[in-house]
Amino acid sequence: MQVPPLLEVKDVSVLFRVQGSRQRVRAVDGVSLAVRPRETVGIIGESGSGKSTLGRIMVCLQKPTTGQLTHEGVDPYRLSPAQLCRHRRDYQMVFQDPNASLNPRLPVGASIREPLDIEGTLPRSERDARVLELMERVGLHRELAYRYPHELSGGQKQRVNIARALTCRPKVIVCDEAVAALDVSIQADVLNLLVELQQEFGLTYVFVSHDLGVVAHVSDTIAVMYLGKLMELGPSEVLMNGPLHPYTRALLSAEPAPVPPSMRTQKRIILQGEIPSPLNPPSGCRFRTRCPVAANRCATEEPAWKQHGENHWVACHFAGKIQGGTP
Amino acid sequence: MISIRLRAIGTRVLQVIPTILLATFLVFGLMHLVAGDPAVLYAGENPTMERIEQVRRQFGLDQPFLVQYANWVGKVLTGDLSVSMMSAEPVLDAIWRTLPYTLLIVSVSLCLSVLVGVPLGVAAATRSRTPLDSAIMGVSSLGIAVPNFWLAMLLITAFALNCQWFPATGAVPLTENALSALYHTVLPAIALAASGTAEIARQTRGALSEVLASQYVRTLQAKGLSRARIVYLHGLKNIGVTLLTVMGLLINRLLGATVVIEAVFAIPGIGSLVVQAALAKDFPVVQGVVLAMVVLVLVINLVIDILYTVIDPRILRQ
Amino acid sequence: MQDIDNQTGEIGRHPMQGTVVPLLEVRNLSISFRTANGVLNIVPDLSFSVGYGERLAVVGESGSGKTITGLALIGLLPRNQAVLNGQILFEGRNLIGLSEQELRAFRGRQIGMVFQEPMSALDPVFTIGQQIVETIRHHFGISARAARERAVEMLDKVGIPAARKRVDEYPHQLSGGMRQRAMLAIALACEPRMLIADEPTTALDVTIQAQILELMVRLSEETRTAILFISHDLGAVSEVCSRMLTMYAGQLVEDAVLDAVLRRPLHPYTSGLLRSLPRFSRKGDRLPSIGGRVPPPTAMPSGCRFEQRCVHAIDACRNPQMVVTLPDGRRVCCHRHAELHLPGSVD
Repeated sequence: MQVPPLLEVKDVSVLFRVQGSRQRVRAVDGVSLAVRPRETVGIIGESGSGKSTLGRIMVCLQKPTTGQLTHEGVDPYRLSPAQLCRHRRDYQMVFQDPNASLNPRLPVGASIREPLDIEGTLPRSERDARVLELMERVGLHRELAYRYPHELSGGQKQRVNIARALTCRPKVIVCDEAVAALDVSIQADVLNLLVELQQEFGLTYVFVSHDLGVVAHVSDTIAVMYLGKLMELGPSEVLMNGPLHPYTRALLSAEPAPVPPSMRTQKRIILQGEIPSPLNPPSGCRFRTRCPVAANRCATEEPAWKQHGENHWVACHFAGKIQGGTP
Repeated sequence: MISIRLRAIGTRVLQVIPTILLATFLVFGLMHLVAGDPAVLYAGENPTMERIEQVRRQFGLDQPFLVQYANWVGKVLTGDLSVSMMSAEPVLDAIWRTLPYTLLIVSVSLCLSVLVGVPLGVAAATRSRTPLDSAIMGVSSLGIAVPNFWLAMLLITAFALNCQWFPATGAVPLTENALSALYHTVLPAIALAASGTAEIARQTRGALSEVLASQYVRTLQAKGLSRARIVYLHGLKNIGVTLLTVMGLLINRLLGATVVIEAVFAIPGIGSLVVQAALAKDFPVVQGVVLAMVVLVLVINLVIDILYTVIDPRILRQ
Repeated sequence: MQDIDNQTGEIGRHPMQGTVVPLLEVRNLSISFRTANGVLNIVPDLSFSVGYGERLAVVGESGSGKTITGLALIGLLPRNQAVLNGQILFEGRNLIGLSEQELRAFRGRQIGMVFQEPMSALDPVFTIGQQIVETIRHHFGISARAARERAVEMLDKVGIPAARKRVDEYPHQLSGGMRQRAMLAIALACEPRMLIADEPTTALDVTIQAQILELMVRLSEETRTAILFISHDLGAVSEVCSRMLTMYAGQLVEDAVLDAVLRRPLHPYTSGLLRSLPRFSRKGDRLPSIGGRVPPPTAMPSGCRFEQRCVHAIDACRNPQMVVTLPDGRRVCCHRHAELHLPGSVD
């Protein structure tokens, strides 16, 4: 018995107009995805994949040109502006650049308190207490509340951003490359923190990243995007161990691994060529220009989104017919 | 296959035409608004009512405004800018007569500003936060603050009257005697150039400092290039757009400021012409000169826009 | 696949083993900065060597001093602020103490450098052809036409398709991967003996990164160019390098052949770094992480700099530490190395 999704996008597309010309870009093209409560869905892709745009659609920062977004069955764009404003509190985002996300003129405590000030329901006297409580929960010293962002390290700033996202007790947090700008050891800490917070607060995450290792670690389900379309979607373990789409396999293989040379068994799949411009995506299957197993059919016929296993979907004519498993 | 650059230039040229048209409309309209009833002006001293009506009919001032405008534009396009009420000299001839003096001063002034301002700015940027930098910026503030006519009089007093190195007044046409012409231009150009030099020095310093802090300067250093090459070739080309912009604004300003300088130095340039005409209520001359200046400024800005595309390839990207 | 035998077998061994003269030998390098509060020492005492054709990784996180070291090698640290002591011997010649003009003869010609962020590391108002030609003509006074031919050749060599056409393109017309290839073409145009690469692939997409890493290995092998690969990305350096230096807070903490250090690191920091990569973990497993932060340069402990964050620290760790050289050539800065059995990147 499937739990109804907390957040769902159905066949969403976003069309951007290129400045100064009549060209248009489909940053996201016909993507359908459902996120269940307390689940973590990871979205992987490279430049031009549309993953960040999809993340922004999910928290109503970007309106889809076509298709539908539902939050617990409700279309947020049908709400009145006042209702939408309140509704947004449940759907938060943590961005990549910890610097750019914080007002450099406000002490970080004030930045964390800002959502409470805007919401206005909690009495003023209690707001500071809530801020300090949250700071401790994300592993920050209370006294840092009076410091300015430039006095904090990258990892600390990102924790401030996480605390701020938690202030109004959201249901969903979309992390857009949230750990990409952090050092490896700090990254590990922040990832651990995110997983703990999820369990404690019953959060649902959408984790957008280009880093496979990170996504595989935190996600239950992974979606792979390329040039605006979904290539593969499935449980994390299945995708990491037995991916069916050539792009997923290439991504896994391309991810540089600190494996001792003497222990390397698999030959790396190195894709040729550049990522095509989103302005002019290839016909048929978008990945065909770099795909090691592309055939004539791939240029004329766009692969259908087919199910290949429990919760495992792939868009490839040759899914399941290619040999080999893990890279 | 027309290159992107040519296409961009063509577009820009086409864009100038409606702007010029609009400018002519405004000039024409403004003169009518400002000058009161032109018929009264044209009618001379103490005109009678009949005289005024006669003038009105004679000059077509009883026609609807737009018709007058259209007639006027028609005449302008054939080169007929009417005649001066004072001297009966065709306005166009008056403009041709006086413009060269003005252009000479403005050009020399611009050259001075660039030749002095850019090296100062470069020196300040490459030695930023040293006493030299502060000194240059301090002097440049002074340059901007000093009124040019005051500076002009100071220069006259010091170099023309006391030392007698340069002439205090007058000008010589370039075609007649180039050296003498330039000789007469020195003091006026310097007076005009002060604030321009300061501005260019500031802008150069600001833009160059930013460029020198960029990542690609490290790459250039890693290639083993000399500091001079990095600063002068790469640095200046990268700030080219900024410099061009400043120069464009400067030219616009100089063309206006020249009025005062011409008065101080008694140079028979276009500034003097229009001031005298305005004081004498010589309506056609003023109108003609304003139109000529507007067109000149628009054309200069067009040239600068075109130069942008030459200097910075990113301007053309879509 | 990497050919490791070629790498570790011959050149590049520690000078103490008395074989071939290394290409680059850094002896007791110290890097300090003049600040408003006095002279701040960032790198106290660094020694290492790079052999001809060897690919050496310098790994560390922010504050490790790895980037500063890279810049110091070719004298790109601001002269009026940075104070260098010790020796940087490049083919026997000490680069410290050379005048700016003398150093310029090395930069681009003997030692090339590529940086992160190809977007901002190329001059935007000149074509990539002009930028390659510039470096060639600066070091060799050949004709413009010959230089241009060489530029096209270089672009071809780094895998840019339609090189003859692209040589006249501007950086903004190229994609990230192409720009990084162009950077490599510029850096290698004069056939330097060594290439310093500071986070060359960090800003690139993962599939493009794989291409560039493979390209770097290929070019290095073809032209016998040594590479000093500075990065925090342990995976990337593993694809390219045969030996790895780990730096922490300005100090060298470990120097070993890649295979050995990945299997069995001798320093707790290296081990912690390898273990905190989320590659081999599943959701729900806590990623082993190194708690705490790098001490600020103004408050560096006199003993082991990693001591405050080290789970294996004992009292003796607060005494000043030395880099120990082991019989097999490995070096480590941890007096407990013999007794600790630290996990590497393999389970």
